[in-house]
Amino acid sequence: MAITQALCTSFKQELLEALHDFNLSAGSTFKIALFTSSATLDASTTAYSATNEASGTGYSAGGNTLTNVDPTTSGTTAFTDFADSTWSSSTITARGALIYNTSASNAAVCVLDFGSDKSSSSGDFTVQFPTADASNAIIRIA
Amino acid sequence: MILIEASIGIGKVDVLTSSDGGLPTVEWAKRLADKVVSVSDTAPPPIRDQAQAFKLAVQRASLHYMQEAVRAERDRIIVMLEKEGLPEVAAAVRDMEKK
Repeated sequence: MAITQALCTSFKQELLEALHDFNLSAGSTFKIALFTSSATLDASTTAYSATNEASGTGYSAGGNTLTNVDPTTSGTTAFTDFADSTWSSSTITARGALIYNTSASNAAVCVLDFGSDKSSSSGDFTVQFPTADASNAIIRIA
Repeated sequence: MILIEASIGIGKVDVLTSSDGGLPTVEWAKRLADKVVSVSDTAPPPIRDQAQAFKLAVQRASLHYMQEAVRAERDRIIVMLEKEGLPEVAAAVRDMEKK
């Protein structure tokens, strides 16, 4: 049982098959689901599953819907981003997350490792996405 | 033989949590500034310094207006509660502004 940060291998193939659209307007709908330290998530993850998903006040199975930020380029690197996602008035403990595409049969995009258990108690649980630039964006193709 | 190589990478997220209430306004103002303004650590010092000064200005301005928005929303709640015949609850909400 381990959460290993990675872009899912299946996602890389699906990207070449035009399965994922990160545009804000008319693009795919992506969600972020939280998982406990008992979950096994890594590059071989292919789709969302509720096994070992986090639970608690303020958290609904499947997680939050993400707000896409239109893909763009800087130099020779293309990248995309999401707006930060918050579970408010929540009591949650999670070790990592999975971003997946609900417009494509819940196909997995990437696994996020928080590094340690993160907990909220009747408060906010916020996942902050990195700066949207060629060096830090959540998904980059160089 | 023609060979084209590319790499695909994933960024690092941060997680911020709170207890007994949401994140304070100052954290949201800082987050807004982080999202709006970014500059590389390796940028030329005059550009980096100017960008960081601008970022601080954005953070201060957003904090002020976020606090104004919170105050205005709380005022609306107070009026609603009073109209609903809940003056004591309205008073309790009004007292929150003093803390």
